[in-house]
Amino acid sequence: MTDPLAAVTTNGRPGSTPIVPIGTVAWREHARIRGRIRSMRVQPWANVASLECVVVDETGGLLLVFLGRRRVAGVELGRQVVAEGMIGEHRGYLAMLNPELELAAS
Amino acid sequence: MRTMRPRTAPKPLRPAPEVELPEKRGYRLKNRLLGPPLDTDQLEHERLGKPTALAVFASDNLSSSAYATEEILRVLVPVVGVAAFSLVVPITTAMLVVLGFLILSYRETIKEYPTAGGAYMVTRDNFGLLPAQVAGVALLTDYVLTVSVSVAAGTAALASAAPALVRYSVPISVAFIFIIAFGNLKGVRESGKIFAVPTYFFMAAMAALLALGLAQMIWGDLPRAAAHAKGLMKFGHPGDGLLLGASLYLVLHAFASGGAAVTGVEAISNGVPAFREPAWRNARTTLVIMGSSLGAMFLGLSVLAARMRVAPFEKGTPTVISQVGKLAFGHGATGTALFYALQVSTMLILVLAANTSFADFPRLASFHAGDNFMPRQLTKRGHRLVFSNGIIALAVAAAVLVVATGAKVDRLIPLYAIGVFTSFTMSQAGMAKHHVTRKEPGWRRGLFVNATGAVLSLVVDAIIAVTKFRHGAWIVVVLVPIMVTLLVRLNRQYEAEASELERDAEAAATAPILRRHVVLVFVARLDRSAARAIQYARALMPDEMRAVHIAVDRHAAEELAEEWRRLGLSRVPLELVDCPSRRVARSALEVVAAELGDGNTEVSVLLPHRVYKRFWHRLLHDRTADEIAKVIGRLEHANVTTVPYHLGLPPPAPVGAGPRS
Repeated sequence: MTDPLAAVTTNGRPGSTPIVPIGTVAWREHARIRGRIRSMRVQPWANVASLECVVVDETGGLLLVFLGRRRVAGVELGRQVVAEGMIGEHRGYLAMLNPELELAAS
Repeated sequence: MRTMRPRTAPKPLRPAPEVELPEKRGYRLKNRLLGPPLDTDQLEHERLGKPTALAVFASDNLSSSAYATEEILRVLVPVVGVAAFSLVVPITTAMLVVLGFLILSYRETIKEYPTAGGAYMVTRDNFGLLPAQVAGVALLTDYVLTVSVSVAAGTAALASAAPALVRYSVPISVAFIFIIAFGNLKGVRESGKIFAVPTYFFMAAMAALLALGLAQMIWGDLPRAAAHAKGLMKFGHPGDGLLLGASLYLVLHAFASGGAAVTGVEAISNGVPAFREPAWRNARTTLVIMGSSLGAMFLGLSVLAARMRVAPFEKGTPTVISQVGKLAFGHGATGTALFYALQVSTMLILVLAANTSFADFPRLASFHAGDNFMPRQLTKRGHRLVFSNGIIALAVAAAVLVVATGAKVDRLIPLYAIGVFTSFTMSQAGMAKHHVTRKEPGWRRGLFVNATGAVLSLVVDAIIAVTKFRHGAWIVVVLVPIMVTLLVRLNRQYEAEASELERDAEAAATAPILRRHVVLVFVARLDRSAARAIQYARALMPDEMRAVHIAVDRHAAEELAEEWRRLGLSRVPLELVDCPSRRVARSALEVVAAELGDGNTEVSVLLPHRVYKRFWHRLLHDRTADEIAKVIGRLEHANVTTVPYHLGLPPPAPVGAGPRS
């Protein structure tokens, strides 16, 4: 459905891809989504640093995973965010690993 | 691994495992009020000799004579006036014929069913469970009424001796009910001594009254009641256009009121195992003695009341029996003493009659519950080995009834006796069927007796239901079927539950366990109680474990997260869940449900729970954890555990400090 070339061409030009409903994103494709942070998971000091959060819109939700980071500025419960990146998998869920993040006005 | 040999010699076990926790306040209060708890082994069935048994079982029956005559007069006097005095004795006699047949019938029942249970068991055995419910419910209704009627009549007896108390009839009656209930919760054994005194005291007082009255009758100097005392019931005038049918109806109505007299006949058949061996023979003898005494007292009182022309008072006090007593005993010192003795003994036996119900109702209710027709709680023996819940239920029901009727015997009487005669009818019919099916030697005679008993009971029941329908009998006529329907519904529920739980229980126990085990520790803040719950979570060795915080306040949640990042906390991640709706329990439910989604996961939810030293400390905190537990407990494969943290205790001993000395 999506032209693979389109994905290639849009990659590296963040901000230019259209925002899609989370319910329509597909695994191993590039996407730009917008949603509210419903929950987040923080690791204690002793664990490998990572921050996960679940972003939802009306159509669905996915994980945003920030590896190597304990906190990301602006990632707070209830915040609206726009995230862009490859849709991968994390712990069995659809996830964006280290996405590009824009903070939307909440 | 080899087990280590203990360095010191092992000590013997303690006689009772040691728990260093004080008992709860409520339990200590219960101990103080009711006495120390009784072990199940202490449940002993006292075997009673005939004299004691008579005292124990007859109080309900004999006490009826205290008000039966009055109730007959109460129906007659306002309509036919003085003609009532010529009708009361024949009506009493008719009732005694019924009594006679009931006694003969119950002699059969006692012989064939010498086990406890009475009408319920006989009906269940011969007609099945459903008819047994009808018989049982009818009898239960009557037990409630026995308490109300007896206590109200006992209070009336008290008020007849001390008229100032009339205004406080309702509180006095209710107090009586709760005193009796309390005594029964304490486990007043059906020990003869408590019962023997009032029963024989009453019988002696009645014997004195009847002997004196009869002597006066023979010598011809029987005193007469004043015809125009204030408060007396208005006399009707016979022949005020009364048709034959109407007067027949009136007589039947009076007869129905007298029916209260025979209630309590069933008591002995309910408790045959309490008799000394040969139980059934002793029970039969006692039954006959009881019946004859009741007959003599009832008839004697009716004759005296008729000859003395004693009419009931509008308000119920002074009672007919007290008026008869006052007239027969006269105004001398001995007479006054005898009069008070009569009043006190009447009051005592009436209260005692109520007590009989407190033994019978809980037991019958426990039979119903044992057959899954009443709430299971009724089968449980309480602190003092009595069916506490049944006792409380009876006390409450009787108290409600007393309050609703203003402790007026004549307002309660129309409700009374229908239930008893219904159960008489069913148990006698059951006996008749029993004779037909078994055909044991002498069965024709038994069949005749029981069939007659059944027919007579049915006729009396019908008379009561029809003539007193308007006056209150309809309540029972309506209530019993409703109750039976409810019990049947309850039974279906219990049966459905049981069959679902029992179906393939063995297969269920060997079914494969779910593959994944997730432990969620719900935390409100990072404190000792949360740490304790996390330690316990580790002991469960789950496949996945995390702490969950439902964030109502995002700022506080962020602070918690910051704290969490700084500390080690056994490497447990913390999940913050946004909860803008502030419905914490609902959000918690959603988190758990999400984990359960794959259908192959067992979730353990741990709730840190603070254990407070004093109950008011608990009031200082909300009950969110309880709410979460209740909501999550409704999900399948979600298992809630509360992890206690004891507040106000010294810090725990260091690890490895060894056993307590």
